[in-house]
Amino acid sequence: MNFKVLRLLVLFLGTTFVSTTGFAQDDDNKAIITGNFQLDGQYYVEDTAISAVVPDQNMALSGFGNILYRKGKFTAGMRFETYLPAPVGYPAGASWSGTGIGYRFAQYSDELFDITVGNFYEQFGNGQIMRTWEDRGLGVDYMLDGIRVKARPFKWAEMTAIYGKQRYNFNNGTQFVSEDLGQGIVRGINGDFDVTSLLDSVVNIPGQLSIGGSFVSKFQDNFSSRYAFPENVGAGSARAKYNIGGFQFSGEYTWIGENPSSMNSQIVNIPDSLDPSVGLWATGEGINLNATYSVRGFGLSLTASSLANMSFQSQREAGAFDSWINYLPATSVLQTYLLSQLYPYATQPNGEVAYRADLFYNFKRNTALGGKYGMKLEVSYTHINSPEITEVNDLNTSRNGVEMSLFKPGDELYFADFNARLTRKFNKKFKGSLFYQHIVYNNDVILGAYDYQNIPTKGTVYADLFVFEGNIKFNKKNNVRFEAQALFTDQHLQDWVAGVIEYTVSPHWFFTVIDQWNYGNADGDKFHFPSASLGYIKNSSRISVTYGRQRAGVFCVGGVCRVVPASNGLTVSITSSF
Amino acid sequence: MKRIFGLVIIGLAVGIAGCNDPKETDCIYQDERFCDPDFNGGDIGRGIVEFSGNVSNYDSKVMLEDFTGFRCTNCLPATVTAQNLKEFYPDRLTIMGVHCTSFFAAPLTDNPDEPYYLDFRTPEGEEYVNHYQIAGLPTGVINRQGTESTSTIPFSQWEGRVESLLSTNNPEVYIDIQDVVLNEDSTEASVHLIAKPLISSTKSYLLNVAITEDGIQEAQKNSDSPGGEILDYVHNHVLRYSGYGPFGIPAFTGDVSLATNQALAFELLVEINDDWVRENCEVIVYASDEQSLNVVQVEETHLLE
Repeated sequence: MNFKVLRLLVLFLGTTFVSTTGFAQDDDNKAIITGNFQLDGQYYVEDTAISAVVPDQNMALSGFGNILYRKGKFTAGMRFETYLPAPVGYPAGASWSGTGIGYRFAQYSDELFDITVGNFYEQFGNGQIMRTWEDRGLGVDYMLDGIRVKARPFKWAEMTAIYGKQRYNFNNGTQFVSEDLGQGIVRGINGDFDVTSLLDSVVNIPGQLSIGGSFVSKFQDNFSSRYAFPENVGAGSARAKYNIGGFQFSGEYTWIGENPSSMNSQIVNIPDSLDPSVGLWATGEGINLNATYSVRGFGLSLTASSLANMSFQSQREAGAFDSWINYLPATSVLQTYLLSQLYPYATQPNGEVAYRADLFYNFKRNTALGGKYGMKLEVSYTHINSPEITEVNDLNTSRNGVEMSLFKPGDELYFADFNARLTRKFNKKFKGSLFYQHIVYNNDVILGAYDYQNIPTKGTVYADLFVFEGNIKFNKKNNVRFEAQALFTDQHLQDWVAGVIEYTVSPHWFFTVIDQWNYGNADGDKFHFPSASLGYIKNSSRISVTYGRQRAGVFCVGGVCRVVPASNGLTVSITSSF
Repeated sequence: MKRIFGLVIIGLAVGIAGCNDPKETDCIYQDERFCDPDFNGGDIGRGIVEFSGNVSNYDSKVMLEDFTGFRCTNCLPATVTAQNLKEFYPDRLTIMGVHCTSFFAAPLTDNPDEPYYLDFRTPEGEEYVNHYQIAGLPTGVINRQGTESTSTIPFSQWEGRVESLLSTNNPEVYIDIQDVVLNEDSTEASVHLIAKPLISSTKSYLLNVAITEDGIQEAQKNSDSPGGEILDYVHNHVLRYSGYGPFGIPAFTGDVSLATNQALAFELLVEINDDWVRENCEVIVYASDEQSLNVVQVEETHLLE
């Protein structure tokens, strides 16, 4: 039955693809259909040495297809999703299984109003009060099902109001938070105002100033006979952004009302006799400040962020990846190098104090350092500490539990990352970069580093990574990119080397060979993690086949990380858009 | 148009801004007595005791809550139905007459010599009205089964539901009230009981104690009576008191490790009100599933033997 549905989808997509040319018109009154499609299949092979799990069903298939219909001011869309079953360790939170419609909406948009009914994603400010988002790679989807109204009554103002239930899981179709779980209703209002435009006719202010504010509230029934959980929890935020010349400043402050939850129950140790799972009746606060200055060839960015009890989920009992209303932007840099991804940082919603500085400088062409084509230096430093936590002895009465103040760091270092990259083009055919990273990674808190028995490593990892990356362009058709990486640490799995070679024959073919070798593992086997990929690209479609070993680790998007178990096998991936 | 828009936005902002529960008290518990450091009611456990023999031939029992009021003109037939059922199943059915809502149960006079003077309402009874979303009387809840909005059962269906529950004689929890001891001035009673899960599970169970009173003479509206009321009506099974909030206090779990001849001892406290006729009071002890709030066993005894 499920395969029949899949075949129908493929047939429908194929038909749509063929007929796209006929539909696509520039004229606003003509209907336009667009969409994209992705399918990932994985065949698992047993590999007990690295604790690679072979599920009962030794093949996994997940995919989705978005179809969007637009005519004039009207848009409607849907997403078909299939998980037969989902890959091991996917998604991050509540399970996704079966096939069905995961997303559907209808939207009317003109100059004054933009009205959406059905499913929608929305973000207020930088998201730390509300951002309903999805990432299919990570396996999270926080969409709302309800109504969204946006209005632009003046050229200097945009207002948004939302009201909906949140997606919880997927079981042959999207499952929203049900009445049994307390409904999970989210409602909010947001306003963004361009102050410079507003005051334009009265006074001219230098630069560009905009401000904004939001209020978001969630509702969940209290079914507990014992605890007086707040059924309505509100949150507010205020933000400002100012640009002048090469200088830009932005800041946002968010406050959340008393919000006991399974997430914030972990802030302090609550004795079992006092039922720790119900959480703390503490309020939350968060602030994010950023200042950047950039001119031609030079840029400096400074970020300061502090969070205190900032988890905001539409269900009190939600797991670490479920039902998030807000999104806490990552302060750390997400490095893409394979060995750097051994130690990615995940934002700690219960509390952190984070600082980051980024600098780049372009050495001019035809100078001693710049050479003929110039050279770019990028330096970045991130430092994230625990917040100072003062415990309050009220666990059996008001249970605020803790007192935390913004930008008051505690004694524990969570994460530090110093990295520098030099990129230089040596001649028309060769461009190379050198990269160094020093990482301090408190795995007792971040819980991202696992051994080969899938047990989190205890303590803090101190690691140094060196990477040499190069790109050789032989001619217009043939290109080779390579990476040589070496990571040194006395903790966790100790030393690694890795190599990547990617050969591209434009415009259609690419071939990649990767190996990661844990050569320095004095406490166990010195495993290799080889893989090879072959891919073909035509127009906007791409197919790739990969065979190899994948080590256990975490996969992160924007400070949200899910654990990926070790695996061995064949992966096929197809993407297409039209 | 823009003015209308502005008003709509302001209305929305005010409306949504109200969607934050203001903190009414500093207590995290529904039953605020648990936040009183001097309140030791939360400590009800009295350890493990041993039976002389194993539990055998123990029946499941049913609790019927009759939501009523002395100003309810249509409630008497429901109350009569409950009493008839009690006469038929005297040892296996417990009745609590929950007089509730100001519309149906608030006194009509301040003069104790006039009818409709007594106030049978309880704070817990009003909480049940909200919890079960009771829109009209009479209605009933049997063993508190169903969800909030589907628990109430019209009295025409009580007999069938009670018989159905009693025929499924597979008790989940064992309760035995050992004794009830009044203090010297009879202002407080200690109810000593033993209990144990009979089916192993990961469930958590609540215990609660309630007092009902029989033989209270007070008027009752009744549309079938001459004049629409019975001035010398005698009310029975009237809920007077609930010891541990509307649903009870966590007491034990279904996976507690006990030998077949062992049980858990508990002591539940009751505050005695001077207005009650002690000789006419029943002590009701019931256990319920903490998650679903379904009542899984109930026992009753006289306050004074």
